Amino acid sequence: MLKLIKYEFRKNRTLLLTILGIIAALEAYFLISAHLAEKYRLLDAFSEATQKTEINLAVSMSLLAAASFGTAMAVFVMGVVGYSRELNQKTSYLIFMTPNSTMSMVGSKLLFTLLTGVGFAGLLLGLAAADFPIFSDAIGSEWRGYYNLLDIFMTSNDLSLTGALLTIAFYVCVVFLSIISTVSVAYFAITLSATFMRGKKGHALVSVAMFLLLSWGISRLTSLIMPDDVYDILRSTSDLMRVMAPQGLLDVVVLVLSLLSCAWMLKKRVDL
Amino acid sequence: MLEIEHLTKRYGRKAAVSDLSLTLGAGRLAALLGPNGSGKTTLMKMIAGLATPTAGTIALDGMRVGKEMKAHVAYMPTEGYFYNYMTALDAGRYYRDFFHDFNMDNYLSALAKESLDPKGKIRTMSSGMVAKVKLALTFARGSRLVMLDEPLNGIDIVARERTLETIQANHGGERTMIVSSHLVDELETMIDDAIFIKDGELVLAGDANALREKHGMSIVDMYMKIYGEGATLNA
Repeated sequence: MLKLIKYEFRKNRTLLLTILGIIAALEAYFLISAHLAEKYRLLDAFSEATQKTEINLAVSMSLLAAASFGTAMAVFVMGVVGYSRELNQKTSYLIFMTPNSTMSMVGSKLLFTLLTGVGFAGLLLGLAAADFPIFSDAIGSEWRGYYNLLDIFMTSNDLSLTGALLTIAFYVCVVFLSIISTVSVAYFAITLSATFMRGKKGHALVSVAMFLLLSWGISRLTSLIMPDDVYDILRSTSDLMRVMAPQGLLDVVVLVLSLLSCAWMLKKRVDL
Repeated sequence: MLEIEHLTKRYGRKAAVSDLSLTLGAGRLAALLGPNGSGKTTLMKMIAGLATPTAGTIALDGMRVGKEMKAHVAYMPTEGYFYNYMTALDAGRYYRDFFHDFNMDNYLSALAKESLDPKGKIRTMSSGMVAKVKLALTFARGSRLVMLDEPLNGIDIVARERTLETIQANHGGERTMIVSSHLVDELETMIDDAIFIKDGELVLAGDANALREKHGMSIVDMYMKIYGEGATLNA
């Protein structure tokens, strides 16, 4: 499966490099804006030039935030469209001729999407953490003060740093699980359209409708198992785990069922 | 040995292959003959695991179509099937990564013999050059079963000669080879077996020499009799 994942990255290299290029350009824009904002602020904090550089800084940060959202969307679309295209183009021969199980074929695409998503999320979070002190310096704010404030808040609420990090890590895992489970539902709809429904009129439309319907059904199920006052009852990591575990479990079930169904449909009714 | 029993492939109400049974021995070179739309490609795709039969079974040396059998089947589709980014070298690396029987040295020397640049992008190559890359990839594998789908299509007469030479050079040993074509005269002299299919049904199959003797005519003439106007030849 590792080799299949390697070729997923190779196939999408141009798109991935383009996204990285955009992020790098926006980060450079932010760094230059921050540098200029700090420089002009030190010369004259209230000058027109300083205001302009601060506006530039705000724009660069907004663009970085927009790029984060755009990246998430691009990774999702790349994962789903890439799979759909694979089943409908002759390049699929390259994968289906190889001695790999259908489970490995679908699994590798899903893992590629997950790894790309995690990679970009890590990169963007890392940039956010690195950019925060730079931003604070640029606008003349003492960034350590924010951390001290956070420290005071955590101490007064009896929260440990380890606990907070665990909570964040758990939350991020559940979010990623939820996203990848949604991608797997999309795979299920695409596979159904490309196998059992191939050649039937309007199969693409039915596939989209099926994805929307399944996603809606799963979200309804999630809302049923989640308490209404979810954010009121969260006090600790164990609270979060207790509340979110059923949702995570549901996502795992959906993910496994989708994967098994896709592999089975491709094995039984592949038609390239 | 390739054994096909009661193989059927339906697309809705239309049968692309219908109740086809066939056995091909090891080391045989068979021509799969029939006009366009007769079911040749569908049959090959089912053997290669790219299409699932509606009914029937396929087995190569006892292995059913699946992961295990795919490791021993080299299929050359008639269409281009490479990723846009691929150079001839990338395609070789891909095959090396997935097929244990792929020999990179043989592949590169086959490319060199055809004066093809391994670093050339496949998507920018002419159809004749792509056909040569596909052929080099297929024969660089030591597969038990090799299937070439219309290898003589879309290439000039010189390339056609070279392709036929390559097929002949790789014929022998335990390797079973199936070559589909409607250019029968080109294959007449080199084949061991002939398989005629029409509208998805097996019309005539067997040892080429035995068929010639039995019907008192060449394979080309049999083709004309089977597919020409007022077809008269039957098994």
